[in-house]
Amino acid sequence: MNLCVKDLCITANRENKALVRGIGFSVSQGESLILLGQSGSGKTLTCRAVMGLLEPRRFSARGEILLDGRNLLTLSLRERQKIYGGELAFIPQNPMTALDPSMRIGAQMDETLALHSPLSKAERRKKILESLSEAGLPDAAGIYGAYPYMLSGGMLQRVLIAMTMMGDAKIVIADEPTTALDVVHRNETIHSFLQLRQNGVGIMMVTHDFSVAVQLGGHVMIMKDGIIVEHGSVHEVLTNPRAPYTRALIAASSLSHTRTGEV
Amino acid sequence: MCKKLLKDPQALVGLVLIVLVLGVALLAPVLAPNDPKLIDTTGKYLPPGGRYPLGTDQLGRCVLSRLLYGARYSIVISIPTLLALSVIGLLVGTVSVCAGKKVDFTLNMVCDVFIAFPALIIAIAVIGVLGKGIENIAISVLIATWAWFVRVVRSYALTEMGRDYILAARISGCNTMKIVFQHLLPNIIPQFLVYVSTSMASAIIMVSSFAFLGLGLPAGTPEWGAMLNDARTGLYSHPELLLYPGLCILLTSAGFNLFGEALRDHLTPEETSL
Amino acid sequence: MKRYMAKRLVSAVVVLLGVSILSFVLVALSGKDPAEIMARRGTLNATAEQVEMVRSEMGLDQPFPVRYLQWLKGLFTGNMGEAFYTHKPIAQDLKQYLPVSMHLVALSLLWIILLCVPISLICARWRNTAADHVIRWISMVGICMPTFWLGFLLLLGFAVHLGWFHVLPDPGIKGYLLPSFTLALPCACGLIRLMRSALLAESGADYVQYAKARGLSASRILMRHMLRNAMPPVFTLFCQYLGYLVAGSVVVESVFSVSGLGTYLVNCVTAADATATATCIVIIAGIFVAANLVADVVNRLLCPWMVREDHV
Repeated sequence: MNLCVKDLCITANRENKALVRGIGFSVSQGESLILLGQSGSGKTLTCRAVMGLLEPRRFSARGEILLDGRNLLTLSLRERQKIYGGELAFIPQNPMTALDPSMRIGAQMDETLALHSPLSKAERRKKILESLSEAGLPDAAGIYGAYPYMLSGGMLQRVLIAMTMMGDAKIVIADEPTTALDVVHRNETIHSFLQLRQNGVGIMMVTHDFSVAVQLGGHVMIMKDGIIVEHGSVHEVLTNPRAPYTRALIAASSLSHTRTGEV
Repeated sequence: MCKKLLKDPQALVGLVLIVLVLGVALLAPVLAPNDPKLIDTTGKYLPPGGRYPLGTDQLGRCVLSRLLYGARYSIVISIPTLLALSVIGLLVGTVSVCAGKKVDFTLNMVCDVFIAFPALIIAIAVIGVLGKGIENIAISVLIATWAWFVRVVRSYALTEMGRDYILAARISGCNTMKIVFQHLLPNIIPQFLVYVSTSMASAIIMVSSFAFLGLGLPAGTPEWGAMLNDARTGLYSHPELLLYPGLCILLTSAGFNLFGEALRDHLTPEETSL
Repeated sequence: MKRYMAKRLVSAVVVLLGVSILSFVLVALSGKDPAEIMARRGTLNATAEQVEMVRSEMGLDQPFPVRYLQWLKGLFTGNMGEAFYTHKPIAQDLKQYLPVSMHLVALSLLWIILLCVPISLICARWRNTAADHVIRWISMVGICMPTFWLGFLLLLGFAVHLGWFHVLPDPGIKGYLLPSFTLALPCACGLIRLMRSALLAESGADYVQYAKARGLSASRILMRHMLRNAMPPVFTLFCQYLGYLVAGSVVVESVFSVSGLGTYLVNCVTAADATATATCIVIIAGIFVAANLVADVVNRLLCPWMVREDHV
């Protein structure tokens, strides 16, 4: 499966201002693509456009977002709802607020799975428990019956990853998945993403931290003011940055500290 | 801020209604064609026209004059009461937040006790104790609702005191007095105004409820609630007498409610985040 | 949860005690002398001795705290003495009037639920549409409406013009329909406004976005997720209205000539009957405190995360 974005433009309706100006990229299964930039560069908007989360009253998106040839921007709502949470999954920025606080985690996973698979209730429960342990959570049954507030941010992040695994996601969109986490959980999360990629999942991750890109590897796109200023493999961009903006980003990231430490 | 508010039709309608009622209350003696209390038993239930633009009631009194004077009672009772309530609310509410846990706990308990009495009930009891009179109506509204005002200010102040800028002010050496007057009060007064405005609407309804029940005002007073009560005998024959006073109450309270809500919409825009 | 409930129960009992003291003090402050009123009732020109005799008969010569405790005891045993205004034991009066008010309030609560829940959901689901705007304006009129006027308008329309009801209350549940609707409408409008804004506040929450990204439909997110999380403030207000409705019934009972607790209370106040007034007030305040307690506990069962915030 392949996610291909062509000439995507996002405009703020009220201010009539172009926030994302004709960007394009492509992610296939087993690949990873990192969208890097400061806040305000339009990277989160791009993410939301792919996931259909833009408020239609405030933003309008033009261009094409193709998932195996189906344009998500023109597909009917019902068709899209079948895709989201199934083949195309999302990992939001803050795991602590991503789930309904008043519903047990198991129930929320179950309602998602029920939408995307024909499995029976008992089979679904089995699959959810499996994916919870696969995501590295020790007490799967306990977490199934827990409320989100009972878990730490790192654990909830894994729950979200388990949620993409249980739906057999082919492409995962992650919006700054490491920002709300401390360093330990951050490394664990990146490790989980590496594992996902190994299992053949395509990853598109938005971040503002170059070090995350280095840890994950694959392709990187540098975004500034709604356009892509530079793209290439992480290694290329890191060793031979052409745009001055890219150099500034590298200097600002925690990478520069570790590197000076090495020197 | 003010300019933007004036462009909002809702705020404008509210403001116009408020100004209208205030103007009528102030100018009632000039505007009223007749003496509102003058009884004329020969001219009962006269149809509108001539000397009586809206006709006369069951005692031959001019309905329009009574309606115009009625604005005075609502306003004269409500505005001073609301002012007193605001002062009490701001004072006790901030003290409750700033004076430490024990004071806060005690005040909170006292508020709980007062809030447990529905306002109308406590006011009825207070009027029963104090007897009739405009000032007694005001006092009973005061006793019935002060705890709500303290509660509201307290919750605003608690939220505000938890913010970072207060912490920053503390660290940079501001004492509590300075924080309260320079930071806390200026920041909670706008939201508090919203509450005052909508409370004004309910105070007006409450006052007229008393008059309707025959509590607090001497018989024959041209107050809207009292007029409704007088007019109930003519439910079949002269229903229009029931319509006017109710419409006045509705419009007055609508003025304050509309303005308050418009103010709130401007203070807390619905779409703040994505 | 258990700890919270225990704490909440204790504070409710303390508040109730405060309520009983306050209502007793409030009516005992009255300038009128109940002993004199009682004595005058027997003989018009009661002498000072006769008044004193009645006073000691009624126990009014006892010190204040003793009288309070006696009254408190009476509240629990159901022996509160005789009401001036009906000449009957207060307990017996209550048995007669309280059920009337309770029927009225119960039916009003039903109206409120029937109006509020579907209408607020419509507003939240189709926000900023024509329906939403119309409902917002109607509910604004509703909260500005004085109940007694609304009552008269309904009487005028349904009883005088259409003739579906009688101006004096019909027997059975039909007699309660108009009064309960009158009582319910302003509350329902206030609640609709609160519930609409609570639902809209939820719609900006992260979990709603993520639920969309999980492929859930808008209706499902609204019904299964947002509704529940928006409920606590709505339910709290709903329970507080319970107390308000009992109080508001004073006015509505007067309009529709229903004799319930409200009318009884006003008559007791007019008759300067301290004991009966205090008893009525305590009952009404007690209902309010109990309703609040229920609201807090139910909210925490509905939204378990609230318990954790209580401890912080």
